[in-house]
Amino acid sequence: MSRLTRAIRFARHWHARAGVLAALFFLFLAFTGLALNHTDAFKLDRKKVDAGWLMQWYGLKSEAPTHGYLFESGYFIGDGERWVMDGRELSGVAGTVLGAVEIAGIRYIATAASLRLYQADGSLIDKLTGSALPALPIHKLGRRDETLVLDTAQGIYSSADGLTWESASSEGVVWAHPQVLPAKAAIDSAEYFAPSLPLERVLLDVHSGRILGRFGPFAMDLVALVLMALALSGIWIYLRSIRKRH
Amino acid sequence: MQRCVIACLKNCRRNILRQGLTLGSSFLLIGLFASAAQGREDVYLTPEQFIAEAAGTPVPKPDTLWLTKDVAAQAARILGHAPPQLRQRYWKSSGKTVWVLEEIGKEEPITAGFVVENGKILQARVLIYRESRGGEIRYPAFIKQYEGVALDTEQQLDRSIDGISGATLSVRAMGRMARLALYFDKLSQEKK
Repeated sequence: MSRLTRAIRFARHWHARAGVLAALFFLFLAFTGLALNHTDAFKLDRKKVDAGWLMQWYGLKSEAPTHGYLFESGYFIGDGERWVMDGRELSGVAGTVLGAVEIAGIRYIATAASLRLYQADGSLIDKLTGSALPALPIHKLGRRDETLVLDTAQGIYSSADGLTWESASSEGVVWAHPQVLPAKAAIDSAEYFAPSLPLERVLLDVHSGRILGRFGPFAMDLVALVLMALALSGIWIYLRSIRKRH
Repeated sequence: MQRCVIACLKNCRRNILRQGLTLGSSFLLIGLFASAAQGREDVYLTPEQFIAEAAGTPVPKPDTLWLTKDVAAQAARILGHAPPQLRQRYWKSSGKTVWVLEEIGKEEPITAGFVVENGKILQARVLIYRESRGGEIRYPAFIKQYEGVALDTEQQLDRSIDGISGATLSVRAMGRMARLALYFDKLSQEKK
């Protein structure tokens, strides 16, 4: 058996074995790469992963909220991503909260561009944006007795029902500020503020190997080298077989 | 023998070409599908502009319709889900009522405006469209079908609306909003 024949046999032998192993990695890389290529379409940046073991792997610890807005018999906690009222997450909302007050059983929650009105059970009464508000952006939210007061870029306005607004002064206004939450409220809402990561970030780390730590990318480099070797040996075997047929 | 080898090579090349084309077109299709599905917001007319056009300037103060238990239940029957909020603002002007409503077509809410007079839709407009497909519902050829439409005793539209292929869910969402606007208008008249 000539040296060349032995070399071809050796190449075929290892090409097949390495090929099966690499195929799994290739499928995995192709799948994650395809998904990452269309992050917006698949909304990967908006989908959250919060599996406890994964968060532990990333070294993210759960931090119970300590501050929120207190009502007569309830509370509201809002960070940029989640709004929780009396232990219930309010759906379809997000944004930095500037203040929350309760007047006559209605809970008013303000962001810079909107004012939402809720019942105590979490039902949305109304969502005021744009021209339904006296001016934008909202800076602060407060109350004067039974009147709602907004501090906006164009001045201070008050309203009794969130429908009609009139210019007002800041005299006697109690502005809403986050307060220390009662222990029970902090515990009840802790699950909503458990750490999570965007699916895009997890997929990126998996795709690049970074999820395995500092040596992960080297492992993926190794896989890439195997794939390159496979491609080259495949081409070589193919060319040899064609030449042999001639 | 030589002919056989040449034929075999040609066949092999053809297969590679065919497989390559299949694979390429699959990736192209996935790409096209994915880019078409990307979220966006097309504002054809802001709600403020629509209200000003329909109710006149200066815009009158809004009235409110509270969705009591019975009203919310009927609204849920029309929408197929609970109404998103318990207080609906609307504007009255010269016997007309103006409504700005939102309803999800497939994934994103469509914002539409309706002007109702004497229990019939006087004008319907798509104001903001956020879905990736089905934006054709904004064209006059479709939207004008709602003019003159009223509710029958079953709370359905009294006239059938021709659909648009590829925009079925958006057409249905417009239908639900039209029914809701007419139902709300009826309630607002009873409120007087």
